[in-house]
Amino acid sequence: MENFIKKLTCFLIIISVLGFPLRAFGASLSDIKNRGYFKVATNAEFEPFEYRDGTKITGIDIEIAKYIAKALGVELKINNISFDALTIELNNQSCDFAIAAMSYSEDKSHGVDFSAPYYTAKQSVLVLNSSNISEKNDLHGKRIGVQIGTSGDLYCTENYPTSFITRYNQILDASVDLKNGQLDAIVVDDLPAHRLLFLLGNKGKIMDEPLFEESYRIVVPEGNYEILNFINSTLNEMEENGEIKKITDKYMIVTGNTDTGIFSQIYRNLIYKERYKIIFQGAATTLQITFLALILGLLIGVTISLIKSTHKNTFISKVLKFLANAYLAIIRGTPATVQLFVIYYVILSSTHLSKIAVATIAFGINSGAYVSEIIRSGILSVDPGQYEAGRCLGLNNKTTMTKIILPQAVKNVLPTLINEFIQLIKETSIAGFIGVTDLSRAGDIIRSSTYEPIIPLFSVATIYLGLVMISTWLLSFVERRMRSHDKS
Amino acid sequence: MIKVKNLYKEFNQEGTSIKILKGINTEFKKRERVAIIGPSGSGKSTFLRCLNLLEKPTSGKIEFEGCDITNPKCDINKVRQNIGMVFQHFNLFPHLTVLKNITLAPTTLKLLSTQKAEENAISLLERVGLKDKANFYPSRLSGGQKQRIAIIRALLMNPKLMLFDEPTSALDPEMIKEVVTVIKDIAAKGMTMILVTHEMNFVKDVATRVLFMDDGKIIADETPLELFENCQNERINRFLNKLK
Ligand SMILES: Nc1ncnc2c1ncn2[C@@H]1O[C@H](COP(=O)(O)OP(=O)(O)OP(=O)(O)O)[C@@H](O)[C@H]1O
Ligand SMILES: [Mg+2]
Repeated sequence: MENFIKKLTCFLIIISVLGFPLRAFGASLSDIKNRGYFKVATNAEFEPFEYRDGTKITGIDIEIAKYIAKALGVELKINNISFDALTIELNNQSCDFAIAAMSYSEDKSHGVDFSAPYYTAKQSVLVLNSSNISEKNDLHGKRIGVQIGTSGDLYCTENYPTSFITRYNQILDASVDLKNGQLDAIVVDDLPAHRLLFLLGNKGKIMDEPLFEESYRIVVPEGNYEILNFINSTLNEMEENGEIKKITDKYMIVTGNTDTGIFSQIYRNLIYKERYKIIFQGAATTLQITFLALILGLLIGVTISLIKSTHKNTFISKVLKFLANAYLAIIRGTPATVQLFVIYYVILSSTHLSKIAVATIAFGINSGAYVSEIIRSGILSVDPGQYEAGRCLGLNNKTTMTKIILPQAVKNVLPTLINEFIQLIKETSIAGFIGVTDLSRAGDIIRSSTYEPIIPLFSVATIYLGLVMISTWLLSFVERRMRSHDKS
Repeated sequence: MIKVKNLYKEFNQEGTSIKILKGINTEFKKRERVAIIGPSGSGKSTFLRCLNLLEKPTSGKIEFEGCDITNPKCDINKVRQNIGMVFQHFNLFPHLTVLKNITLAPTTLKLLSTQKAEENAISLLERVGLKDKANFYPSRLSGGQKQRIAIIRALLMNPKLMLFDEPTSALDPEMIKEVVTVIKDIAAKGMTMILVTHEMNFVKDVATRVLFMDDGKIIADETPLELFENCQNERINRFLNKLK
């Protein structure tokens, strides 16, 4: 076993060395002019700076980015990914700059450079009316909600070591916990704080003094001074001609709805700005990823199970068996999320595959490991006499396996396979981590702009349930058809 | 046709190796029909399975038509195409129809065209009275029917030698006869065969020679007549008497 782990480590090192892209130098301004667009990365879940409005991404930061692109005379291509992934994207040079209400911090500065500030944001503290928190020091030892990876998160982690900090993907979820007494305070930007306050009605209040102030900056890959200088001078120009103020004023309006009736919620979350389209497109993406990953997983699974079940004992088959075991150990021993990130940011980062393609490959590779074990157990369940009968007729190992053993094995494990595929539909919901707008992500997007969780969550859940039920029915129909073969 | 020299076979079981075949020397000639009998566990099946390398001999030589099949350079798949094998438990492929069971190997190996293979299969099915079962799946056949199909499946490869490992042991008494009839029919057409069996009538009617195996060795090699009428070996007589 120890020996195996040693071999595995060797294998992993080789894989990662091969997989790591060579460090490229960032694009120059003339490169960008030539290609005709700026590649900008953002995380469109932070209204009003960057968020989804219907099916398009908009916000203060996006307008600033557009202005910068226009100043160079090129288009803007927006890559919407998770906040955590922004630095990785920059380190990889996969984008020219990132704009996502980011402020300078030691932690985040590795491998990146920050521009001059373009906006000063207050971090506010939102509490319930009944709360006895009235100044900064009162937060010690309290339960604080923050959005993961934001400066509020970093600030509280550093300054309130005795507090219990809960990190949310969506700050909206924190307001629910605040209302239910699960949190004592929320630390968040001033504007979202006011929107949350609006939702809380007269139950909440915002502490008079902000917790701290910070400056938002654009982030570029480290050492790309040409782009950095261009961005800085454009920001300066925007400051002077009043463009920044114009943009911020346009977005900094606290809105909210007093009519919380179910029909007006449905209207706001699904119909207004054609938001149902986001959900449907998300569902289509989920189905597409699942279906293609399923096919890839089957191909990989069958291949691996055949390699592992071979009766041969040659050098090549030993090497293949070793590789198959390493693959199984890696895939089954690491979380799917980590695999998705590694495949996206390390192994396939230098290719220009779409996110959906990458997600499909990642889920296919993941599913292949489980499918192969299912099929292998199916192969083991086939009477050894079947293999002998095949070989006795002069068929070689491969033909015997594919024509005689495999069809019976698959039939034996069909219900388990079906189950694996149904799992896969739900597992693809982590595709949003690399910025694929799948069904789950679609719900999150709507939720983060309406600040109303119920309708988006229920719509998403209903569609998942529907997809699972339809596929269960379809696949069990196929199974019945296959079984009836035996008797006809 | 097939020469066996100093054949030894050991199995490794939980770390200890048990000797099953302890030096077998014999030869099977063309058109010979050899029955192998002997007590349970004496190594009859193991010996038979060594002849087409289903079991790998520990040492010794097996020459099929002058070519040593234990040599890794020998293409075992080619050899097996010439050696048909029929098992106690039929081993039909349950996911294929009777016709597909029979034609799978010759068509996959491109020995016959699909059309030719099916024609031959149908005429063989007709010979054993199972033509109407061509499109059935094996699960709908009786044991006797399955074994007859298994025999045809081996025959369609046009083998030079047929191995039978207790082809009637898993059958109900009323079905034994239909299978025996088919084997006798093949014997009458001049097929070389080696069969492990407990059916003594079968041995008397079909075999030209009988090998008696005990504890991994051949302890008698005679014609059926000699063995049944005037055998001196007490061990063999006790075995034969018990069967009667
Ligand atoms: N793959 C194996 N691994 C370990 N031992 C085995 C294996 N195959 C057979 N044996 C052992 O070898 C011995 C001889 O088996 P074999 O099947 O050749 O006997 P047999 O003469 O055919 O008996 P029977 O009349 O019961 O069929 C038995 O004791 C059996 O347990
Ligand atoms: Mg036996």
